[in-house]
Amino acid sequence: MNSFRIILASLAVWLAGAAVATAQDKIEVGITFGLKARHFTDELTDAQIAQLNDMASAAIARTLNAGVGFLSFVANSAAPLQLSIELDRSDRADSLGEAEFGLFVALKGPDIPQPSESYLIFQTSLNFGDNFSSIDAFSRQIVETFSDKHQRKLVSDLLSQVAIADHADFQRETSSWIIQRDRVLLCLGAKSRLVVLGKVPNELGALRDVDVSALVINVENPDDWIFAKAKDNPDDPVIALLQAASPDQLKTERVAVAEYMRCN
Amino acid sequence: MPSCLQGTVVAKNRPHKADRSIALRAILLALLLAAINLWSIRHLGYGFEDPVSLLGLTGGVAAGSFVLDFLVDDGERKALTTPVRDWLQGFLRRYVLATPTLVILYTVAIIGACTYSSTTLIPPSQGNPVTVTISPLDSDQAEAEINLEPKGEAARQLLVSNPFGRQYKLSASGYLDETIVLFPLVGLTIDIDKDLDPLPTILLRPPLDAVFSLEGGGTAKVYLKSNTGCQLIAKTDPKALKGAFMLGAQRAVPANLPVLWELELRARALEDQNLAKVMHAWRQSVPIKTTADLPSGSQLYVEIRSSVDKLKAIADVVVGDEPFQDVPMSDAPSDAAACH
Repeated sequence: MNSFRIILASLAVWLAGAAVATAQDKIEVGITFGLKARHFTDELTDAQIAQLNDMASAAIARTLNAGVGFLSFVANSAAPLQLSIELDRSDRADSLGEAEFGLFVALKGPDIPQPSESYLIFQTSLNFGDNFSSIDAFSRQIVETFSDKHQRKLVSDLLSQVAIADHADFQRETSSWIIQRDRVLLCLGAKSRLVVLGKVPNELGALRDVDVSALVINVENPDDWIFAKAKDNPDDPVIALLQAASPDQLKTERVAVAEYMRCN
Repeated sequence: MPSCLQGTVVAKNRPHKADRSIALRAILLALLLAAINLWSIRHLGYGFEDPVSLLGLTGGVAAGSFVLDFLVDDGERKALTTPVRDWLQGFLRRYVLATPTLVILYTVAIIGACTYSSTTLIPPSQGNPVTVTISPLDSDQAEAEINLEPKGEAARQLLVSNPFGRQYKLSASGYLDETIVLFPLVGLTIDIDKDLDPLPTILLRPPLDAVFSLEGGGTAKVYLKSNTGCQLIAKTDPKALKGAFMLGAQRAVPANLPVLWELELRARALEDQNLAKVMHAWRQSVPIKTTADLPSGSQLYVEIRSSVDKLKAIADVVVGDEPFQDVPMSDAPSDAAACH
């Protein structure tokens, strides 16, 4: 009986540890949604707006977690990385009248090279008069904007600025990178495109910045590390520089996902 | 004998004193009847020369006479008519043409003519039907309510008056209230087109966003601005409005306006779908009753609020002299304040 309890306790400790590890391994991105367009806010009380903001934040986080596996999205979290989504007129004017409405998605936080914004169409001006029967229906409509196609755009526009690793090893023979991150955990499918930024010595020996595009490939390995193969182009001077450089001269500064293919 | 004969002849040709008196009284009665006839034509709209009255009176007598002539011979007719004629003469002399009777008839006629008079209302030559209410100034209760159709027949209303004239308030839908003094005998004729000042009609057209707000349960409020502040004079119920609304007199929208509205919307490059929606909403104008008249020069502040009482559209209006004012409302800026 005692041995059974010990096993159970060990299992619980292991599960807790695994959960903590998972949470730590994925970079957390806070999600905040804000309804800004007066066309909509004028029809809702302040309490309803707050409720919609909360519902939409949570729903968007769920949708992004289901679609974009290499990051962890948490609604209204105090994470350093924040993805703020605002529903506003396409012209961002604080006015009424016919307009297209869209979601302005901005990524802010430390180590984000350039604060930028992505725009997803929510409602065209043709559908200006479409209204929503409830807060819940409104929230569902907002979440539907984050379709697969829009998620890909979101990754290439914004999430490609989030580094999933700050180190990668270049294998000269295969022109590929080994990134010591758990590919299964990040659910990074084959043909996902990574961007590796780093420094390589040029012909004169001085370090120069390079960014190399590499496709994730299926390579069985015990640690489930990520293998990404640089584009095979012998005329590419960067590849030539990488081939010529010794491993200790190569400095990888960040690896990010530019095009995300979900794991099977 | 000749002198005796002469005396007899003179005596027969000279009118008897009683006959002269009867003739005079008959003339007085005829004058009274003529006066009553004139009064009746003026204030009731019909008199003895009215075809129906004439036919009733003369036709009846003629028919009776014809029947008598046809059915009986001269001797029998004399035998029949002589007692009737004698009775009628006696009745006329003793009762109808008697001085007390005439005095009473004159007195009643004078009292009647001094206490009742009429107004004749001539309907407008065009526009909407007009409802006219006439109430004495010394009483809150309406004494008459008359509906007038454009180009219809004039309406006559008998009203209580007094020898010095009685004051009435005349309220006609779509026109400013008027105080009239109704004198006896002459009465009063009011031509709606000429004698009453029309209330201006103000058509307010909400913009696209406000149209959707009204559909969702929005409301409109109308304030009358003055030096002392803003007085709320009209407020609609949620969903009572679908689009445009009308203040003041209810009038048909001039036919040329919708064409101009469409031009206005096309200039704003609205999507066809939204343009059609707004045009439809503007064509369905609803009249709104205000608690105060809106004479020329009145300053109004009109607002549309959403179902959660947020300001969507506003209009500052100065009531002009023209009978129909077409006022486009504008989207409320985010910092717009309520009427102050």
